[in-house]
This record gives sequence, structure tokens and C-alpha cells, in this order.
Amino acid sequence: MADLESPSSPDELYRYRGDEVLLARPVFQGDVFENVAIPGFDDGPGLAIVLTHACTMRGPGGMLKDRLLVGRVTVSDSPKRWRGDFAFMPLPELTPGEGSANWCVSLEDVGALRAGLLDVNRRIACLSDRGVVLLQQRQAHHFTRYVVETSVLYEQTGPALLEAELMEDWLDAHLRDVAERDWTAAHEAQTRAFDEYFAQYRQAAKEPSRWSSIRSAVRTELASRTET
Amino acid sequence: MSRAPFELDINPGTTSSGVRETSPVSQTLASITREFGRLRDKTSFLDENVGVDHRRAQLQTLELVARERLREGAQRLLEDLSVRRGLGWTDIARVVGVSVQAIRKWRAGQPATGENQLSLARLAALLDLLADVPVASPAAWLEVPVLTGYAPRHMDVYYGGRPDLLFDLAHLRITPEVALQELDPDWRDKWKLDHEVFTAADDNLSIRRRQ
Repeated sequence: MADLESPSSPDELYRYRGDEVLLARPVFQGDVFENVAIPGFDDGPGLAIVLTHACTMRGPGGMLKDRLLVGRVTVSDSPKRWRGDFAFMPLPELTPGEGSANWCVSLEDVGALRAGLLDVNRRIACLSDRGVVLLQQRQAHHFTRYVVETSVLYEQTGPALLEAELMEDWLDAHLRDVAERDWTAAHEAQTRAFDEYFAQYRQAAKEPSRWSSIRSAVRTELASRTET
Repeated sequence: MSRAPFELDINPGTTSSGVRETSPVSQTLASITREFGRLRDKTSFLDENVGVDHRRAQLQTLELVARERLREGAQRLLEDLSVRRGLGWTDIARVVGVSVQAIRKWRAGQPATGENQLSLARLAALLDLLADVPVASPAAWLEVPVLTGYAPRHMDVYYGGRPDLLFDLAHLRITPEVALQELDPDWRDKWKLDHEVFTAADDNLSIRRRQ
């Protein structure tokens, strides 16, 4: 039986952090938001990480489902260990500064939140593909005491990771020059447009050997739609 | 009538004392076996030398093609890798050793260091050379596992610094098992997968113990 895995360095965990976070990145499992009050918690607003599985967080039109599962992100007294502190997902260097090694999410401190309460302007980090499957591995282990290899989790979540990356490309290209006041409406319209366009690839996306041809086709289409 | 090479004398005799002499057949077989042994040693020595030189030549070719592709600059290389080849940003960033955010900046026209540009050019060159093998879709090939039931993908072999193994695999000169053995002698224990992905009754991907 495999062991729970760990990243080779904190950098491996994150796709974006701090000022790097791309506004157009679709909300995804492993995104960390600030100023989130989790219902049922009496600790006020704080950091929260999205825990809903990547494959089940969106519904018709590519819109987020009404409620998402989130976990409270805190600084612990000492760094949580990848091997041993199984009720936690360590998030080292989530933010810079003193105690940055001690960021973590307790997989017991979770709650459901209305998706509309997550403000993309308050997103402070997005996990990398590797970070997402490490989180999934710890979540699965926490609830079942059973370990599934991250390579297998990656293959299972691959279609959602692929779609999120291409949606990010799509939204970024379409929203780059949109005025702030129009951004939310344009974001929703382009999310729906992408969802409708990408529907033709969802079945093929289940097969890893098709991912590169799907990327190629979507990016070619995107270039043709955004040519000026 | 002349004998064909390695034709055997099948009439062994005995001495006057009745003690059986070493059979001419045995002597001939022993001689042939020794000769085969010598030939085998020679060819395996030759094969090893040629193999080493061939791998070196492949790496030099990769480097030469990479130097040519380097002239295109980071922005065009990224467009080629992502649009024409269809690689994911995560894999490109990992191979170059930078963040996805750094890749985004280069796509937007910000300068990349010479070393990073060379890493991009090397990846583009690898795909060019694999396409010449021919591997129908080099990017797709890089994304699939070297051997079913084991974790490493072909991309991981490249990331592990062994493009030479990829060329040998693409040309079917070595088996996946040999490639994984060269990557890590403990590969069977280290990378064996106990689980597999399958399409469940709701038509979504799910996970089960490997059948």
C-alpha cells in the first residue's frame, strides 16, 4: 500500500500566490480566499480553502454550484507534518513572512458556503495540479484511512484540470480589456460561452492521450475568436 | 565433398583399450560454443559501444535542433508548444523549472532568461525529433504512462533528465521495463500503482483497485 505523498518543495504546491493570482482563473478545488465567514464557525471572517471535488463543483452553463465545501485555513503553533499529521493539509509558504511555514487547513474544520460569497478579488492562492491531488489524497485518507496514489488521482481529475486550464485561457483572453464595472457580467457570459463550446470535448477529455489535441483545438479556436 | 560450416562428424570412436575417447562431436560442439561465446562477447561489446555513441549522438542532435529553435524566442516557442503541440502550462512550467505565472509573463512578452529560453527550445526540439521517428502526436505520447500500471509518464522521463531513453523508447530499441530500470532500479516497488481509473455507471471517471 502506498504512503501519503508530499511535495518536493512548497513552490510545487501552488499555481498562483499573492499578487500573481489571475482574476480570470475559474474557482477550483484548492483555491484560498480571505475574508470568508464559514457558517457554523464562531471565529469570524478568515482564510478558507475550497474543498469540493474539482469534478463536482460546476453545474449547467459552467456555473458554480450553489454551495461549496470549504475548510478554515489557519496558522498552527508549529508546522504540520506531511507524514503523521493526517487530519491536516499543510500549506507552507501560503503567504510570506513570519510563521509562513505553519499555514494549514484542518480537514475537520469544514463547512458549506454559498458559492456567491467567494469573491475572486479576495482570492490569495490557487493550488497547482500537484497541490490539488495532494489535497485530494489527504481528504480521501482523512475520511477513509485509505491511500490512493496521486498519479491515479491525477488521471481521474485530469479532465477537470484540463477544462479549468483552458477556461482560464479563454476567460483571460476575453476579459483582459473589459472595464471593471462590466467584468462580472462579461465573466458570466464568457463562462457560459466556454462551457457551450467545450461540451464537444468532454467525452474525449476522459482519455489522457487526447488532452494535447483538445488543448490544441481550443487554443486555435480561442486565437481565431480573439484576433483583432 | 566439402563440409558446410558447423557440419558435425557423427561417427565417434573408441580407443583400442575400450576407453571412450573425447568425442569429436563433443569437441566440435565445444569449439562452436566457444566461438559463439567469443562472437557474443564481441558483438555485445560492440553493441554497448554503439549504443553509448548513438545515445550521445541523439543528445547532440537534440542540442543542435534546440539551438536552432532558440532563435524563435520565448513567446513564439510557447505558442508552438501550447497551440500546435498542445502541451499543458503545468508541464511546460515544470520542465523549465519555473512557475505557471512566469510562463504567463513570457507569453505576454516579458523577457525570459537565456537558460529558460534554451529549456523551452530543447522541449520544442524534443517534440520535433519525436515527430520525425515518427510518433504521431509527440505531446500526447509524452502524457501517457511509459508502462501501464506504473506511475511515470514519458514526460516524467524527460523531466528526469533522460531524453535519450525517450528516443530509444520511441524507436522501440528498448522496452518500457528497461527504460524504467535505467531510471530507477527500484521502479517496480516505487512506481507500481495499486489502483486504476475506470468509467463508472454514471459515465463519470472513478477509481478502483487495479484489476
